[in-house]
Amino acid sequence: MTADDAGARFRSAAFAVKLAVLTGASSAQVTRCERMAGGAIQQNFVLDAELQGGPWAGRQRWVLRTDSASRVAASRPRDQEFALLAAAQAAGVAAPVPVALNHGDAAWPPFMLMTFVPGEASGRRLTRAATDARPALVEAIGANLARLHAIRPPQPSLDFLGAASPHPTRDLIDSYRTFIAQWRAATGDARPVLAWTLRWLEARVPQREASVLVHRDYRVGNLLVDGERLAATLDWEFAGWGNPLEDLGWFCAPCWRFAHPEREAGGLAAIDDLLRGYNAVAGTAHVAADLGVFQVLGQLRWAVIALQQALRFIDAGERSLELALTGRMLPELEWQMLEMTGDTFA
Amino acid sequence: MPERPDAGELLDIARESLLALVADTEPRHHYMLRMVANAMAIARREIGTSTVHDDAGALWRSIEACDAQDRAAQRALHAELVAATRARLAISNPKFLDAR
Repeated sequence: MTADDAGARFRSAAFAVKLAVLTGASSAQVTRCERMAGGAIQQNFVLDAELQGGPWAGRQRWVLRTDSASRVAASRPRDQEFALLAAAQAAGVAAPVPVALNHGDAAWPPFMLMTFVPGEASGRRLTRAATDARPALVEAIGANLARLHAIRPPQPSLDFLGAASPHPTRDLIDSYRTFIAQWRAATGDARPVLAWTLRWLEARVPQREASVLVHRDYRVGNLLVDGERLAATLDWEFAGWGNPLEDLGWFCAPCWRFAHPEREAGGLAAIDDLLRGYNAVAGTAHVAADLGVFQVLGQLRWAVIALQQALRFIDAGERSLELALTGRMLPELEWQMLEMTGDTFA
Repeated sequence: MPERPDAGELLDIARESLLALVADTEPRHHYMLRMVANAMAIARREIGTSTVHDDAGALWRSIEACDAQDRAAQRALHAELVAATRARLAISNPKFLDAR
């Protein structure tokens, strides 16, 4: 089924009945349902509805999120994403409000509804929009992340995340090493810079770690910004228990700076701006140097993701030029890794 | 000797012809056209160079075997990695190096 067909489905009278049941309304009308841009894993639709009765009575603009045809194994089921959004909301994190969840049945695929939050998410536009740095926005992004990290295990509503590991960073490094070995076995392509980076990280892996709820894709591109205000945190696909510095390092990794590589915090401002907001809420005293290991970890993660994309082309028969070219981004990422690690690994 | 025009010459003119179409093509196709042109440019540079000759497997083994105390050996390995990565960048994205 094409995306356009799917949009038409959600404008049908049958879906209006479904919507009323899900949202506790006595009746509902869908006045608009259009596919939103982006979302390789999910299909997102903006849906305007009018509801009679129930907690959502009145005119509503919502996002309907469902799985796209090409499902990726790592993709989180919609009910888990719904629970994560609810937990984030309760913790005061800027995020869409989860509205309703359909588990999937004979007539309708699994989908979730959440409030539509207006704003700009594009990294290119956000970093280009102003030539000046945006320290206030980045400070708010840091504070928002600290609110998320206040969620600690165990959380019964998030039991699908499994038990928190006592050494989440070591686990991540191990998983990257395993994948890199798989890549090499599948393609014959040894990537010695990755071996170097693994050794560098192994010499610096934290010995004692506290696990918190980490987003695992907290970066420019997944944050909706309205003027200088952080409006919402998007894409909760990868959330799990982990070291809070992982999210901070990922936000500051070179791959997410877009038009301003010299601005270490997401191409928007300085790391100190991010940490000022973070520390004030979290009660921590992190300094920029604390993030170094996790910036390299983030860079390695991005390299692993790029190789995973390339492998979908090489090994899994997905005929996509974009996937193929992603594999050829590795030398850039490796060059940055060599700059970040310096000339000794121990 | 290869036949003329050779593979590189064919890729060059194919890419030029493709890019000449961009102005007359709907904007929604531009991203794909530029990706196609980029893929052709990488392939062109790769067949134009005597391929990357670094022995990546050997370098990998040297890194794994390197003594953590031997900083001189690590510096030498780092220099090798920088050179090998520079050679790969010259094929996959020479503009990236220009900016550095």
